Amino acid sequence: MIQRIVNFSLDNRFLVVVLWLLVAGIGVRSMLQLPIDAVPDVTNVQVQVLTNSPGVAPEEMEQFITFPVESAMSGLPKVEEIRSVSKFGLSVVTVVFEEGSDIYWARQLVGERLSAAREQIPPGYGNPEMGPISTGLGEIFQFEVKGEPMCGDSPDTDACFTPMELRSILDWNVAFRLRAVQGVVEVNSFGGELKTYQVTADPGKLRAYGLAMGDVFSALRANNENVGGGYVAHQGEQYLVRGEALIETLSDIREIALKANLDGTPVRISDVATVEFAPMIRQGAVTRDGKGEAVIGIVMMLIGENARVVVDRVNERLEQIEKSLPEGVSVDVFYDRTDLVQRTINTVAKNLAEGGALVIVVLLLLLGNLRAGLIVASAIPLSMLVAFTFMRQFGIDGNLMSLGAIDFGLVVDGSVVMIENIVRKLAHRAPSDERPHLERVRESALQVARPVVFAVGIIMIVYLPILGLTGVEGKMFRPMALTVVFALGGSLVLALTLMPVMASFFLENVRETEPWLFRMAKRIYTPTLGPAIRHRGVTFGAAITLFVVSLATAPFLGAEFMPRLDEGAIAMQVWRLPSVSLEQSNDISTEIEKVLVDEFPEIKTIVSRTGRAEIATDPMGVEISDTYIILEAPSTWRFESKEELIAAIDDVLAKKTVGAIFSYSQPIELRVSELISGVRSDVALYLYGDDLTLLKKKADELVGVLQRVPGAAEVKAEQTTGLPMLRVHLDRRAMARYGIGASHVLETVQAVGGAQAGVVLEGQQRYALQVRVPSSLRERPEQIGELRLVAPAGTGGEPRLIPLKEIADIRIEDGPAQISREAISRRISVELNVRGRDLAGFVADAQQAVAGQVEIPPGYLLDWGGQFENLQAASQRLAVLVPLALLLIFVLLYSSFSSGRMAALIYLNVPMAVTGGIFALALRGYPFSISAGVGFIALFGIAVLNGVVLVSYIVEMRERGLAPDEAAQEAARIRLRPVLMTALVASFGFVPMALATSAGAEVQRPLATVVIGGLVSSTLLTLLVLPAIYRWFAPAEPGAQTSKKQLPETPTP
Amino acid sequence: MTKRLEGRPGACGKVLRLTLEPSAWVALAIFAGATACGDAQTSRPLSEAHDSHEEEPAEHAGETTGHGDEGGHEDEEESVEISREVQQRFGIEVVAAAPGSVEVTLDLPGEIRPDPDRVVHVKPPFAGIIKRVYKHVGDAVKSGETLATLESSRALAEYPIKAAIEGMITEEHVPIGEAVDTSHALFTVADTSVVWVELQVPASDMQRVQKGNSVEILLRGAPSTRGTIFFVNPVVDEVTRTASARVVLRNDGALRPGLFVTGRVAVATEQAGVSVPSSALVRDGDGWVVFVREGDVRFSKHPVLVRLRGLDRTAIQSGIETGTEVVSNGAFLVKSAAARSEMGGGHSH
Repeated sequence: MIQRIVNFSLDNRFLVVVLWLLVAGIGVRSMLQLPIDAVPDVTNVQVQVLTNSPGVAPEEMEQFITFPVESAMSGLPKVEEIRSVSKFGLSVVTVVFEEGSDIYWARQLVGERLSAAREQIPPGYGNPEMGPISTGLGEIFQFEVKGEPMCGDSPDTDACFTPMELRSILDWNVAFRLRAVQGVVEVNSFGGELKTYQVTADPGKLRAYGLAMGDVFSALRANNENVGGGYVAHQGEQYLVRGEALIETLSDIREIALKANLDGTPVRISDVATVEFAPMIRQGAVTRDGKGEAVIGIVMMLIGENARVVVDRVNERLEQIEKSLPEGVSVDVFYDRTDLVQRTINTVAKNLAEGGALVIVVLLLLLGNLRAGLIVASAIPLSMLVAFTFMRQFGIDGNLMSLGAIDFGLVVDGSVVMIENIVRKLAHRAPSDERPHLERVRESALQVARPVVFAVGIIMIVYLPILGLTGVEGKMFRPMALTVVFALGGSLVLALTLMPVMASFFLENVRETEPWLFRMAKRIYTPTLGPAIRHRGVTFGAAITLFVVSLATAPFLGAEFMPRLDEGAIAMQVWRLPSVSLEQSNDISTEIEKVLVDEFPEIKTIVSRTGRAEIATDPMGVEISDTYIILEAPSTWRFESKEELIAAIDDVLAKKTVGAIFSYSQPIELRVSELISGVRSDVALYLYGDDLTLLKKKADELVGVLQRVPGAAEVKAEQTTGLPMLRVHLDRRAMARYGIGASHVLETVQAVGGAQAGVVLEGQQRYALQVRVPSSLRERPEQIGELRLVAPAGTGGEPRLIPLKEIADIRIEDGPAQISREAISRRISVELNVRGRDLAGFVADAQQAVAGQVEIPPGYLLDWGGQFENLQAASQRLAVLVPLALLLIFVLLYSSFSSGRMAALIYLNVPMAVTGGIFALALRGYPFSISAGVGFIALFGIAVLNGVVLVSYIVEMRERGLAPDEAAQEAARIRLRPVLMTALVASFGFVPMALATSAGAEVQRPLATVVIGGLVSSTLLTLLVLPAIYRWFAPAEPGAQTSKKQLPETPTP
Repeated sequence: MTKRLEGRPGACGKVLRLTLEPSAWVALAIFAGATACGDAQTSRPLSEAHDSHEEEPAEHAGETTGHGDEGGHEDEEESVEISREVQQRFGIEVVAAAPGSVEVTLDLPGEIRPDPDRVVHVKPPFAGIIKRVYKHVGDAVKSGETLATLESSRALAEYPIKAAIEGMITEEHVPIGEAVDTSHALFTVADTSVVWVELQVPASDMQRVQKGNSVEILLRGAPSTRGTIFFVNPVVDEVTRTASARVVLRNDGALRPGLFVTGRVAVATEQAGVSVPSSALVRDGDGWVVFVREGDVRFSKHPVLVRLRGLDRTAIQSGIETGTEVVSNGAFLVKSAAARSEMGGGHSH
């Protein structure tokens, strides 16, 4: 089969070239279309159902909205998890589907059930809707809408802009039109003031006219309509009939009549209320650079789109839009994903170029043939193009993980072995050999075709365990493994087809030279080899010692689970006490911004997004700000690294601000973690039950018990309470005495925050029409009880005015700030991390402690979970997959050598490689990470490859009748060059990555360090230890070993 | 503090943990704990919070010591340091607790009424025919001034009809040449130099509104005037179910009978030995606390027992002394800072 491919290629050389040109063409096309983003998207397949119901408290949100939505969603197929958060004015139900489910299919299912849920939600409580089809990477573009001059404190005239005007411009002139851009799924407006037509009704005046709050609502509703009246026919023509009473201006509202007095004078809205533009009640705001409030737009990208393309389109459209904006209004972009994407592309391109150049240099130095070097180097771009094509087909995005960690050394290995053999054979041909050039190429190609397939196959196999990872780890590393496998597959086919063909074209008259570097290597190696073999005990002992020492070093490395990819910008979260008001939050943010802008010239701009937008997509309270810190180029910094900068920022903030605490992340990272929102601690306890107070109490008890278990750190219960609440509990008997209905009272309560009574249309623009109580009557909590209600007239008298407190019990309580639910039950979680001991042992202890000391009430359920579960799952999976892969390699080796001993001998390369990898990590002070682990995996592949190259030749020598030691020595001498070449090519290909400081360096450095270090040790050991100990593994009788398989024949030097 | 540093991205070395969200958990930990000890889920009626004398000290003492048990933390006296610079930047201000007058007010709706003694309906002494009319609506009249003349149907002589009081004619029904009888009110003469404000006192406030309370009458579009409650009707109106409280006011013309007004009644006043601005009080669990500045930069939390909480100032029963510097502006910020440092210190074991 393998030989047929080689033969076919050499028989149809032009066809092969044409086919590869075609492949390259498709590859280039795929590369250009390949969605490129900075980091892998680890968001799970989820559909969020969001319901906004302004002014409604968490408990009502849960009862009236979250519960019906949740129950409608339960029982959907392929659902992994349904969880929800009910907060003030917002319900978010997240339905997580199984990995690999189609998002559109999932949304369709959710959409179908949603209509059932809507029927269960009482009218007036909002309409549940699905969140945008986007992921954690969705926020690709953010901009501020600026107006010059702003009105500030001066009165609003046409000459200046108010936050409300800017917001309207953003909503209707900018965001509205950006939504039409292809690839944009949503443009969220945030900040400023959302304009409403507000009727500020004065209870005192209402009473004077014998009216109630409800009369205002019904009057507004009854006076805001347009109707169609069909048509009238007249003289053969047909006239359409329209009835028009839509509210168009403030004065339209003022003129609406509430009733006519007995004497016929009308009572109009303007008699009992002020009609004005006023902001809608809000739960969020944006501040920027310490200069106060700003109005921003956030562009969300559709799932699976290409960020750079979409941003280009957005920019183009923005340019058009800007021309049409009122004079003085401008759009200022402060976050643009393409910056990051460009950095990713730069990194990959740089690595490609530098790695490629180094590979060519190495080949040149060892092979002494520029043409051969170039032919081999062509494998790099061609394999990459194959990889791009497959990535595009399999929906893998290009990013720092998938593209950043490809080793071009690995990619060329197959081609190196192929071309090296061809060059050597061609150069050393016997004078008697009169065969045509093509036939000689064919012979040498066939000779190594099989080892090449085995070797590359082995490298591909070692990547398979990574494909078995699931969850976030899987999403980070699987694309990377797949990309490497694609590239290797491409390179394998390339080595078997194009490489011999190219050799037949361009390598007709080669002379094998021994370049300086190779001569040097040989000069050092040859005299060392003899003693090494003679004192095999010492050699082996030294190797074992080194290995043991390296293992002993390993525990001191420390470990890190996931790498962190630098996004360039900082996303700082600012937390205050949950009872904070939006105004206070804004003040704190503004001061923080001022401090940072003053102290850090490194900061280009700071934008704080506090709370959530009026139409919310994420359940953030006003106590939290997402603060985006956009930085200048790192070359201008006073700090060495971003870590130092963050440390300095944290230090300054700790000294110069008060009332908040900070955590630091990055824009994409933050958004992703908000979305996947699973528990991120090592261990988590979930307590399910009904009574919020009891849940809280038990959670506190659990915290107390867990804190005392050795190894527990950062034990904390989920924060669920702390939202001060003014409860107006109606007294039905009192209401009955006054003859007042509850809805009447509740309308007044609603009007405290502004109750919507309709919509006012200004052309396409739609604004809420709301009724509100004058601010003078709702400034202090105490005043709420003094709000007057109009009761129907008593016996023959005038309507009565009754204070709210007469018919309701008004209390200030700490209510739930949020209600979390999972699996259709209320839930509270307690999280902790484990320090200084193993997770499994800790969990066992903790479970015992909890079982003994905390009583879980009947009907309540305690569940253990957290990261330790994922870790256990991942390690269990790896515990099966890694040995399986190793076994597979062994089987391949065995089938290649038909000898368990030889396979075992080659396997010795693995610990030898580990030795160098660990030392290299220790030397550079890197912890063990998944990145480093992937490095080890790649390393095993190359190390085994080296072993195969050497051992196969020893076996051959034995077959010619040499004694074990002689055979080993001879083989080692002759195979020095290919072994050195594959090792050097692979490690040099990684040098740029090992030294990288650009984007993606975090992932690349440990990986490259391991490979380089490991290759140094494994190559040395391959060349010295393997020949030395071969005798121990060798069959007793020379020539006794018979090979069933065709092994490479001895090339005659 | 140590914990916060560990949460930073730079400081790795955490064994096998996701670093995706590096330090939000720390933040959560701090606040979660803060609320765990601070905010038990209990309730208090609003009226009491606002109202005059608070309930027995015993209950409060229990609250203040019991508070904090839930989170398993000790917070005998939480304190925090805030530098001068930060105090200034965030506008944190202190004032000394001092003796002062504390006033609790209550807004009641009311209506301006004429004094019934000063409204006179002028009626003819006998039946007759109106001959002449001298005065009309809006005319000011003096006591004894002739308003109209009436021809007696019997005597056929003209008699003058005179004003009994000084005031203004507010109504007239004098058809010239028409016969009127003694029940027909010809004029209404009202003296509005003194008016009544009838405030409606709902049942829940009847205990608090008493004769002699000082009242500020708020009138839309006119300066407010002051008065005192002159009379609280012991009988509750059967229709409105409110008791009326009457304030008698001199009127320079702005207080027109029939207008709706708001009466801000001082229902409780007290000369407190220790009082602080009401903005200094911060809710903490079930009770109130103030933050006291000790030295230049140290602030500590002191639970206090509130005697009387007014709009501007609050009388303190116990907890702090006169002269103690309490945070009057930015108390919430200090509370946040205290919650934070408490947890920071409490967790680093």
